[in-house]
Amino acid sequence: MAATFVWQLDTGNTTGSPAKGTTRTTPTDVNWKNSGVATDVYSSYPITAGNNSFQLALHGKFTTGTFNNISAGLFAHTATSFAANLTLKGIIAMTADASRWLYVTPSAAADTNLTVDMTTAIAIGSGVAVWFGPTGPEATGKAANQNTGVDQYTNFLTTQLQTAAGAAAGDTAQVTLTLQYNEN
Amino acid sequence: MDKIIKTIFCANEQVETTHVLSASPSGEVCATCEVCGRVLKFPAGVSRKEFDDLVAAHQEANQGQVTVESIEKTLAELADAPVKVKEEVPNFTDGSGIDEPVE
Repeated sequence: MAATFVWQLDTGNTTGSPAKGTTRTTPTDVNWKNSGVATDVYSSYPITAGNNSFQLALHGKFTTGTFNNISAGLFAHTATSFAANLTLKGIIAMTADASRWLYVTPSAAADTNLTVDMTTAIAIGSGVAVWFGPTGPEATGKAANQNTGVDQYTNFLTTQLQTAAGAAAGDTAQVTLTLQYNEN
Repeated sequence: MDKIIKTIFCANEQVETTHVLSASPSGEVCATCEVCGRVLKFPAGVSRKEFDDLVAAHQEANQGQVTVESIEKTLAELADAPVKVKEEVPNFTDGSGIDEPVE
């Protein structure tokens, strides 16, 4: 049976070491908003033009299926670009365990550790490398491939929507963020 | 007031372009690409060295992106001529577009 995964989202203050969010949910979709509370409705917490969203600390959790090896993870914005004056920033590619984004209590300040410009839809093949580990997105020990059939977690796949003063009011287009992987 | 210009790699253009520097309402440094209008933000109160380091990290992290738009443009250039594809829309009003269940 094939490996499958769910998206999960960490929110709230930092807890533990390495840090993770106090709340972990399994959303079917997410919205960038002026709040770090998972249950806050985005329309009640709009991002004022010129300001930024709180970070969205997503990750993938492989929960079901049997697989011997999982590898070649990639993460990218793959469909529907943003309008002018909106910039989506995201995590850098994993090249070492220390490359992973470390959880911080979400805020609306521009996160300088989100270096990749994800505003434009790109081919998934030029997305950033994602690594996997058996403990949690925050944990050390991530590797490009894992030889196990138990639960696996990606590193944090964090994004932040940054806006300029000229950003138009209203909802953004709905965009697609893709997590791709190989399994055998 | 003269524009304050900085040359920064643009992820959208995939080359270094001139960016106009300004401040956001919260004091963050905004760099707006003069070619495509893409805006980059840097923390309020960033020093020159921190700024240059962040600009360098930005370039390293964003070189080599292949946009969906550029792929579609390439495919269009390779094609003989544009061909209009007629979409077949199933007719659900009279049942003809609904598959019969397989026994």
